[in-house]
Amino acid sequence: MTNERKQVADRSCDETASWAYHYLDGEVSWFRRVRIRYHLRGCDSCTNGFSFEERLKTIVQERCQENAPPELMERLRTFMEENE
Amino acid sequence: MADQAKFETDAMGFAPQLYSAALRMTRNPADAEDVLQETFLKAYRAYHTFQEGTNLKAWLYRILTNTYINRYRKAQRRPSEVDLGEIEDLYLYRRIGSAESAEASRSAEDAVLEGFVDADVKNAVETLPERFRLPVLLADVEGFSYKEIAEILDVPIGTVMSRLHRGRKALQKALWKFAQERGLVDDERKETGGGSQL
Repeated sequence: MTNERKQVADRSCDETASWAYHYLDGEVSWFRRVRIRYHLRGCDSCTNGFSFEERLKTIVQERCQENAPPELMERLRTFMEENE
Repeated sequence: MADQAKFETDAMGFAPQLYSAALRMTRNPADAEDVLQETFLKAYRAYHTFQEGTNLKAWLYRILTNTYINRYRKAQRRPSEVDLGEIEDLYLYRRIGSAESAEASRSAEDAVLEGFVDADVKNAVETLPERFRLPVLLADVEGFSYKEIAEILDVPIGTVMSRLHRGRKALQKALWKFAQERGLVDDERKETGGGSQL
């Protein structure tokens, strides 16, 4: 790839990367989604990057779940009854 | 209008989830429980104003968030401005993914992603400055849309997007630090990629 073409590719990668969160959140317009998919089809590096972001998002979600102790639910019910 | 008598059946099921979110906000179980109780009391008392058929989960999170903010924001020092300006997109991926082959990159990524323990991720979320932490929590952990988050936090949707964007980058930076501390990335990359040294 000539330098000039490399630069074009980099710009396009940068632009695509800047939309990664919106895209994975399902918060992009139809037009944007088509553009991003078009780029991803031809770019392994961005495709891997997007897939990494997606896995990371799942991990953040899974690891931040907390089980409420059963006593807590009991106490909440009691509290609500007392204050009704 | 919702019937107050139905509050228990409708809303109690959300309590465990709300508790989990309260814990990420307050960072300790006793405060989280206080916030949860106050949230449910306010929600119960205001339940006649809730429009049935609209988003009950978002409505409860809005009360939870306001309760947390009212209780704790005053007690906090002004959040220190963190400079997140230079954090690039796909920060963590780019730190890890510089290996020679696709296979090597993939296994390096797996090592990092699988290597985080729950405490690392919770810690990374909890130490985010509050204005980033709430959007990240609501989007990534609770799965709300940008529009719902805007309503819950009562800020414009553009603000949600920019805080979420910056918050996630800050989260990745914190996670990168944990990856280094846990030795999940090899030494060579630790020196060239990370910036912050141990």
